[in-house]
Amino acid sequence: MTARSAPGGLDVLEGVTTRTSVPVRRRRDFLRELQHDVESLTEELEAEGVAPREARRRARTLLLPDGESLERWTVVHEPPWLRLRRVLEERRLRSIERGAFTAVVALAALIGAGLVRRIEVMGDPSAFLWPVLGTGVLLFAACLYHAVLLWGRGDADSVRRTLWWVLFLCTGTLAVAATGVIADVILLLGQLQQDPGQAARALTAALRRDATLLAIALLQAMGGAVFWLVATQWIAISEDALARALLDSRQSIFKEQTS
Amino acid sequence: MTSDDFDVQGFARDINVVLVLATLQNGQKHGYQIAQDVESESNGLFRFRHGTLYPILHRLEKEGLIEGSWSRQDGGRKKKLYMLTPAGRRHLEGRGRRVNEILDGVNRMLSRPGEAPA
Repeated sequence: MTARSAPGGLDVLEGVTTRTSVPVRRRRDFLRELQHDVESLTEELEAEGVAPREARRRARTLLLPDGESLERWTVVHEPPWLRLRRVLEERRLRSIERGAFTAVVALAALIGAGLVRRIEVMGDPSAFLWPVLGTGVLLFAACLYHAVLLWGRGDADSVRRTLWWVLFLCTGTLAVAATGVIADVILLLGQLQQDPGQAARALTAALRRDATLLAIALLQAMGGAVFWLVATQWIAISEDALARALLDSRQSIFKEQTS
Repeated sequence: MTSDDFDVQGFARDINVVLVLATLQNGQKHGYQIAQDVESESNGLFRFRHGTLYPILHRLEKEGLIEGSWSRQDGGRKKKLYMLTPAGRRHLEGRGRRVNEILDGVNRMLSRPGEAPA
């Protein structure tokens, strides 16, 4: 309610869409709210006898946010974690984030290793099991990192640029497991040539080892692939909805400039 | 009241909140209707211009003092209506009293010209 400079033109709406620290749904809803309110107020002013162009101009002046209002709106909708940026130094916040991230990944790795040790079929594991589990930990860390970026910070641009890492690690997990199976088969063949009498026992043990290795690798890769699919679809759907809301609101609020 | 416990910025914020909540006492409204009602009911004394209303509305909604609900217009477009919640009604009573106390204090000062404030 203080004296302000006139709000911007078309760039006001772009300003809403580019506030990446605000969740996409909030940005889309705000555009829709602005569109409806400007349209309705314009209609009311026209009904009172104001010329259409002037009615739209007045509605825009009253309702479209200027830079300061947009900043206040951003603060209201920022996730609590991002609000810490306003009270903590950026460097300190980054180190807290890194610490929390490392702690979660380490905890998940410990829990995973504990569970694997308890499984009965792990009595005679493949030499490639631990490398497969290692890529699994990396895959989990990559998924967690992108989940925080996407749903915690709302930074879809960075996620789009680096999400290929998740697929790369899925492929890596499967490649390590496949290498393990091939190495096991070669070892088994050598064993069978030396001692054909032990064939049945050696074959059973190798099958069990390799099936476990492949199952774990497949589970990890499937988990990563599902995450990749969900993240890419989420970005596509939400950005499409935001782009549509922006287009609609631009055409409606700035009718005379866009027609 | 001493100068220590009077926060000018807080008072300005309280006024905005009281204005928004007070206009919603009469029933649910859209954002633009709230802006218009504040202006018309205060005879143009208070104006929410350049979208200043929306950060206030959304903050009050987050705090549970008002509730926003979406519905569809005839053309299929979505519109948002705000209504006062019971918490908002209680908040309005408390803040309204506080604003009145402050304005009464100012009025008392103004009605005694020449006297030094205690």
